[in-house]
Amino acid sequence: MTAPQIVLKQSPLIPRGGAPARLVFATSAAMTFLAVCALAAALTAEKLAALWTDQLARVATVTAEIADGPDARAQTTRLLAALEEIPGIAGARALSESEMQALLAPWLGPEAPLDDLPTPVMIEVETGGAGPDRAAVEAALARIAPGSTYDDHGRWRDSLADAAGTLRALAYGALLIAAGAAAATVALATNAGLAANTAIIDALLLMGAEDGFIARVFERRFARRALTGALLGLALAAIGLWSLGDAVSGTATPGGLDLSPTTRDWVVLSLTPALLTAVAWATTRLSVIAALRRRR
Amino acid sequence: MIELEGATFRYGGVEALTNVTLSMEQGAMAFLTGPSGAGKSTLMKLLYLSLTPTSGSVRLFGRDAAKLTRRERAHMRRRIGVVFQDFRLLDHLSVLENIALPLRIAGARPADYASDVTELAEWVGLGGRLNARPPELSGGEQQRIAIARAVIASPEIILADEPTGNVDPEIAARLMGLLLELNRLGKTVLVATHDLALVARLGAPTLRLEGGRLSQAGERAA
Ligand SMILES: Nc1ncnc2c1ncn2[C@@H]1O[C@H](COP(=O)(O)OP(=O)(O)OP(=O)(O)O)[C@@H](O)[C@H]1O
Ligand SMILES: [Mg+2]
Repeated sequence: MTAPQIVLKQSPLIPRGGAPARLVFATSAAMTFLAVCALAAALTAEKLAALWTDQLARVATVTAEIADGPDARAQTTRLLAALEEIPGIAGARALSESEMQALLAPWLGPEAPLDDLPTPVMIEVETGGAGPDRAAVEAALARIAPGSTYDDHGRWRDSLADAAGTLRALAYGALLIAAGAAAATVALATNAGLAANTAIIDALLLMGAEDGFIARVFERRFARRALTGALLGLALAAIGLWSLGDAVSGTATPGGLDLSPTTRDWVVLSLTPALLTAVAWATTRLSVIAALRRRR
Repeated sequence: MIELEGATFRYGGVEALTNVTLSMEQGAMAFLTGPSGAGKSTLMKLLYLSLTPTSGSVRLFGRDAAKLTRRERAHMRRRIGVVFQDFRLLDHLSVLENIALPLRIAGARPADYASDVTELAEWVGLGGRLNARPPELSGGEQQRIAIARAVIASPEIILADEPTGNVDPEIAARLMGLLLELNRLGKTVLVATHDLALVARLGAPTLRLEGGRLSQAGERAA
């Protein structure tokens, strides 16, 4: 007897749908969105911190207190010479008028009337090696232009690093919370699913199904819901992050800074859906097996 | 193959089985009769490892059922085909998928069993309803799914609880014929039934339960 080609479907053993599965989807989407945003913020902060710290490390600034007058130019030259003599300083240069203009433009507008303002002379100091001895610099300043200040940006560097570190910790926290919320929802959904399908589960067990077999039915369902939800959350977050990239590249950012995530960043961000899916999968499996054991 | 030793089962306060001892050799066939409420289904449930005796013991395939791990119990259940009195079909699956369940649970590939499943479904008279869902079928048709499902995976023991309660005499004879045929092939078969006429006609050893007590010890004759 040659039977015609028979196709035997393998429908899911538990009827599909239901509020619990939708809840897993929605929670996973929302949690991924938030976690990805937090991660992206941390990555951006780290990028900024690294960039600025690097730039700041090689430059220091002297705000020279030099009174306007015929003597001003000579006094500035003397100060520059004195600074360049100090070991650890590679060079010193007073900012030109147009540079000052550019520096102040964000606050005073491009047409800032610098001549009418009591602006200090800004000296850009290029440091070398381990940098100059702060006391030596301050002594030179006191000698030639009292009231001047020296700023090696150390405070900025430290607080930038601190801020980036805090954001990173917050992002990990957000990720943990997202994973925890996903796990809690999935555990709830699994138990609801088990309760709604006791007749089917009993029948399968009586036919010789092992706990793992039953668990797989639910794992597949909830892991897929978590994954699709998480991908939606990632997509929504990505739209936001892309527009951030666009917004930044649309303006003249100093140093041609691009804040949109790099390929490496995208890889890191994409790990969030993977993490949530893995959490959903593991939680489902453990919940089902624990529940079946409890029922004996 | 099947051994009950002083098995008693109590549902809370109700004693459904009292001190039942029986044994069936491999390849034996017997009927289990008795009035409604006599404890037939309860005895079946002890044998398909759904219930554990309150006292006494159940031994299957030479092993004490109370001492099995979860995994061993699952594997032992696969060696037992059960026609449940209430069928326990999966309403959202088709006739074919329901019949194929034991094979699916055992991890077989659909391509390997599709034609066997279809053939058996046709043999029990469900050829025209292969893709119907159980709720769309009559009680008798559902019962035939249950029987086909119980035997599809070639279990060594077949336990049938009222397998012909809902079908007309012609189909009943046909289904009993299937169980007899499987018994001839070496399966151990125990059938609980009200249908004394059928039992008399087939002439297999009969165990009679009344008020939870076995009134005739059942030893299999050749
Ligand atoms: N889940 C239960 N909880 C409490 N009592 C039960 C339960 N199931 C069965 N009983 C009782 O146990 C006794 C035996 O029931 P059982 O179902 O084994 O009888 P049966 O011989 O199969 O009857 P039938 O021929 O009607 O199927 C009955 O008195 C019944 O009321
Ligand atoms: Mg019964």
